[in-house]
Amino acid sequence: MIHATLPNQQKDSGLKPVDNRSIDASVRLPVIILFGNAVHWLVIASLLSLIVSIKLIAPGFLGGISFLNYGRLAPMARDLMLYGWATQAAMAAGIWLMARLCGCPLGGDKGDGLGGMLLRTLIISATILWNLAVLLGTLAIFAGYSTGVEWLEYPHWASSMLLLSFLLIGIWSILLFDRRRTGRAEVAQWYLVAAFCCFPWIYGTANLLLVWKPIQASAQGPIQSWYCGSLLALWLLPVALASVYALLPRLLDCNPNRRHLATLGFWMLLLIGGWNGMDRLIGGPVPAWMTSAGVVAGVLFLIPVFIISINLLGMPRNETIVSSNFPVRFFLMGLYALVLVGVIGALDSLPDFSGVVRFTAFTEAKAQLWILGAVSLPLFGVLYEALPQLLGRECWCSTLSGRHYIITLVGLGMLIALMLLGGLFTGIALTDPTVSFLNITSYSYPFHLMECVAQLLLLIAALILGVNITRSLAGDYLLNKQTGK
Amino acid sequence: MNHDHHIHQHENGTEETNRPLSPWLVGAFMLSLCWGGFYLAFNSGGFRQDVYESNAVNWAGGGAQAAAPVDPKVVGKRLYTQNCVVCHQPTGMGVAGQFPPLVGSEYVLSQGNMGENHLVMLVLNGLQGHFMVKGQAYNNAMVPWKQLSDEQIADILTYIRSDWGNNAPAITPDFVTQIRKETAATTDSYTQEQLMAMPAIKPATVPGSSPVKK
Repeated sequence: MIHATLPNQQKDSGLKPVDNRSIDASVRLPVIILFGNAVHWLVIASLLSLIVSIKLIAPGFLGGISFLNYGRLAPMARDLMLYGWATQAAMAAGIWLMARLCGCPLGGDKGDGLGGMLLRTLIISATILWNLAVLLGTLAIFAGYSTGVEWLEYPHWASSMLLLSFLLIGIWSILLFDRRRTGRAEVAQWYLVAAFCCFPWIYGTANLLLVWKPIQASAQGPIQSWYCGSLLALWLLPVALASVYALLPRLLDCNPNRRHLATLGFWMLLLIGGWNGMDRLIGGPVPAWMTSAGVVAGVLFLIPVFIISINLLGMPRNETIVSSNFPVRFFLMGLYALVLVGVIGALDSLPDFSGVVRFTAFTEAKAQLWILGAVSLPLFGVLYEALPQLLGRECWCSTLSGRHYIITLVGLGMLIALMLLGGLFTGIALTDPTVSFLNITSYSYPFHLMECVAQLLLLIAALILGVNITRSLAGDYLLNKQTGK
Repeated sequence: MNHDHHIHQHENGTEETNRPLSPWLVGAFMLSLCWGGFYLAFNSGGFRQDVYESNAVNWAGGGAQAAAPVDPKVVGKRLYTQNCVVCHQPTGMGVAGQFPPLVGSEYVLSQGNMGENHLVMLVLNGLQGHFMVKGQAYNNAMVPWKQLSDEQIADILTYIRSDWGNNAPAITPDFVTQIRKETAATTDSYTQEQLMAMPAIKPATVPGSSPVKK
């Protein structure tokens, strides 16, 4: 690779990189608002997911109230997980990492003057707008005004607000990158630039064609599948990977080696990622090449997944650092989750196999592992790493952090294992004409029952994180009060 | 937790080893890419927008096929429903005393003195006045159907010669074209006498296709 032979040169701007403290000061408020709200949505989404999974074993639970039926709670839970938690935390992680990696404070050279203040007001307003849109969109689903398009249930006004808010926040990652005061771009920066360019494209296109101005019905299925695959593979996953590429080598105190592998993994991910998801339509009313391309992409997605995990997991690790450092542990677990996502995804897209497990919990397990594992775990890592630096002090209660880590992993592992196994059993039973449908539902009952326990664990983990972060931020407030006295 | 390792803008050591991947892994990646290419070639339906079943067409086997040939009887039935049922009825039985039946009709099946050319002629140019069908007398007029294409007329005739127990060979579009050319000068509808004055063209006798009288 050409890059590897180049010296680490400073960009021509002649500006010296700013020290970490001033950078953190410039991004502190927006990043903390985003992270704090993301965690609070995570708690609510986990609570809703628990109710949804209880409804699978006790359909009558909260059944008499139209607001609380499955058809409204399930999309609310999923959308809060995607837009309230994952996308918001990804924006926070992306802005903080980009500012740090570029050695450039938010607002650039405007600094503390009027221009800088205006810019910061604008970005803080955008973070509030984002949360307002998530809240109103969720309430709209609650009240029955869902669009009915999977993962795009928010009404058109809410999705427009989300897109506007994202553009106001996301433009900064591009501007920061453009004004970077450091040398050649790091791998993490490629991923961030790509991700921040992809989200408006994906979200805007899907909303335009499915919600704002719906096109003919026959084309809506493929677009919706493309959206689901691309949102995960081209927006959430790249930000999660950027966090790992940026932080893991530094926390492990080793050089990120094999940049050529990183290059290959990056481009393969971008090339194949967007084609993921079409395999959901096998046998559906779409041209054959679309589903076949989805099948091929589903299997070939293993290539970037393997390259990236070899690249990142292959780094020499100091086990004492690993055992004492929660961000590192979250990053590593996120990478293992990604490998598993790749394997399950490849299996799930093979027509012979997917013919058995389609329409069972197996396919849903892939989406859950992707969102809660491959994306959320690295984002937890960034959160644990960023907050003390942004606040300028040790702020986490390590007992709570440890419980959060363990309970998250146990809950997630249990949930995914149950969904995979349950889905496989249900699928095999469904293909056997001698088994009645009532029998199949009774087979899947114990799996659904245990899934409720897993969801309860995830809710407890989210609550612990919520308490931990509230304690950290409130601690800041109390500290200020004390010093004020 | 350890916060000594903050993000620094300048890394001390930026040399990255470019140790190559294991050849086994590279081989596996290449194989999966090849598989992807073959899978697409065999299952893409030639990348056609109108092929929904991946096995129907593929690049590997004989190229993109033309659309499957349509059954003239199916098309003919649709055209019959659009144009003819008003008089001749969906049952092909006509209306007693007003519109003659097609079922077992010597005009349709080219029996007796009637030939296939007479059938095509009367459809193209119409029929008027007094005429006999299956021993019943009718006095009515059938409008000309020149506006339909040769293919459409052939499809309709093939259909009425094959449904309701009728069993006569198909009429080809070429035959209709030929008759249309021969009778291009005709302006008025025929009478039965005019039709009968012309020699009948009988269908080539194909074993098993002989008309069955009902």
